[in-house]
This record gives sequence, structure tokens and C-alpha cells, in this order.
Amino acid sequence: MDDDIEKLINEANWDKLMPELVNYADNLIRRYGWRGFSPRKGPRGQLLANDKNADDFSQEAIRRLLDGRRKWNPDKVDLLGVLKGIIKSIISSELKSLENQMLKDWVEDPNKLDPISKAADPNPTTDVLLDRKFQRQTYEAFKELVSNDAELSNYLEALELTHLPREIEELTKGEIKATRAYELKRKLKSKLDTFLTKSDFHNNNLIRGED
Amino acid sequence: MNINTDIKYEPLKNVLYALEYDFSLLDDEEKKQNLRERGFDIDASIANVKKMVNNALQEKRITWKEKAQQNLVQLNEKAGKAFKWVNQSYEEIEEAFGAVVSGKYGLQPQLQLRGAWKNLKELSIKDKAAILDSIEILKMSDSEDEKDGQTKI
Repeated sequence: MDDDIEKLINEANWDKLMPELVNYADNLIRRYGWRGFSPRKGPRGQLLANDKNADDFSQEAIRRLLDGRRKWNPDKVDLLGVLKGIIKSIISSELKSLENQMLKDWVEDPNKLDPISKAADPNPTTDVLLDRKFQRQTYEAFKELVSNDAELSNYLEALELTHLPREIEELTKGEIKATRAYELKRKLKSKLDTFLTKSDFHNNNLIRGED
Repeated sequence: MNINTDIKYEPLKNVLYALEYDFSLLDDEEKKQNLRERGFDIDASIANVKKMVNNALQEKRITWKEKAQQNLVQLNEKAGKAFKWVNQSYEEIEEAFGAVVSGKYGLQPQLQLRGAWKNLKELSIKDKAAILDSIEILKMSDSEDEKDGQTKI
């Protein structure tokens, strides 16, 4: 490790950096849930990817930087940026083989491309199409799941258009007050995590391309 | 580092962004609380990382110290092999010292001597021999193709 890098790591504010890294890694694991990988839940409710949680991935990234397995050029990216990159790479490689297996199992049907797929990207790759199709199907299944909760369902549809509580209040014609946003967000996150960790849904319905 | 690119279906991308974006708006303590609610013992993680960083940096310092000690041992070994002027005769020392002062063995030793002692004539023969010994050791260290055995300026 170079002296200037050692100095930067020594002076880093880990009280600020660690929450950012853990949040990033946790969101990343959750997003993999929308790409075919089914995360599990740890003993305290943390999402797990191959039995490791966001904290494990964050600490592993720091370890790799410290022992020199990963290089850092501070002129190009700051410490938070380089660690996020390492986390992404670790999680990606952990799940790559599983993801490849899932993509292989997917039966591509070019006649069934949805209009949104075509509109967003004029030349999407096969992977993009598969991702998009899978994500749309999974998301629709989730919407169906919460459809019996009118308020949550309404809130979810508003979130598709805006993340601002005041705009959500306008969109729902005052049905969802800005002051309810925090509570509804917590509820929605919890439902999403539970939904994503139900692996039988991924394995039995979506991976085989059933609508 | 943008992770939005992982999501290709726009409505879902927007929903996930909405669920994630407000973390950045929280203050430090609220962020920790948010992570605790998601099942993380963030205080223990921070303490663990600080310990890991301290250990790694300390290990690096120890490695550096060990390296310095190895270099010192090597230098002492070289000093042991160098030609010893203190054992030579008065005439030989005077002659060699005069050669260094005159610049016969390079500009660097000559300038170093003139810079260190204003009046070289006041130096004792013992001091002159010691200076010549130091020059011998330095020349040995500088020389990459140094061979085993004694060398002489």
C-alpha cells in the first residue's frame, strides 16, 4: 500500500463511510432479487446473498483494499467510490454463476417482446430483454400480491411516477397524505423483502417464463 | 456508483429509486437507525472496521521496521568487510586523504569533506582514517556490482 493511500485510509471517517457502504450493498442485493436471484433473510431480517449480508460484503471490500488485492487510484475516485465498486464486483461474482444458470434456463421467445422493452432501448441485447421481461413479470406479480391493500397499491402506482410525497398526494388526489409517506414506505419495503425472499416464486413461475 | 442500470423495467426502476433515495437525506444517526431497522448492527460493524484498519496499518509499520532492521544488519556486514584505514600507516592515510581532498576520487567526497570541515589541516590522523573508512562503506553501498572481499577507494 502506498503511503498516500495509507494516509487516506487512516484518516477516513468510518462512522460516515460504513453506513453508506452497508446501505449500498443491501440495496444491491435487493436489486439482484429483481434479476432472478432470490435472496434469503438472515436472523435479524437482513437480506442474504449466498449466506452473506451487506455488512459482510462491505467489510470484505475494505479487507481487499487493505491487503492490496484491489488497487485504488485516489486521483480518479474517492474512497467511498472505490469501495462501492469493489462491493459491486464481489456481489456480482458471488452470484454470477447462479445468474448464468438462470438465464440459461430461460426460454427466449422473440414474438413476445413487450412494447416497453422496445421503446426504452432501440437495440437492447438479449440479456437486457430477459432482464426487463423478468422484472416486469415479477413486479406485476408483486402488484397483484398487494392489490388487496388499496392504500398500499395506490401508493405503489404513484411511486412509479414520482418519489416526492407532495406529488404523491397530488397524484392520489389527497388520498395519500405526504405525512403517510414514511409509514407506507416502511410497509412497502417490508412487503417487497418478504416477496423477494420467497424463492419458490422465482424458481417455479418466472424462471421458466410462465406469464 | 450507479446501481440503477441493473433495473431495466422503468416503473420498477422508479419504485426502487423512490424507496432508496431518501437514505441520503438522513443525518448520520438516522442512517444508523435505518440500518438497525434493516437488521444490521452498524455500531459493531464500524468498530470492527476501525480495528481491521488499525491492525492492517500497524502490520505495515512493523513490516517497514523489520525491513529497516534487515538493512542495518546488511550495512553492518558490509562495514565489517570494508577496508580499515585505521590500521594503516600515517603516510598511507595522509596520502589517501589528500587524494580525496584533491578530488581524485570524485567530486562528491571532495565537496562533502570541504563542507563538513572548514580547516581540514586541523583534523587528527585518527579522524582522517575514520572519514576514509566511512567513505569506503558508502562506496560499497553505492556499488551495485560490489564483489565480496575488501575494496579500497
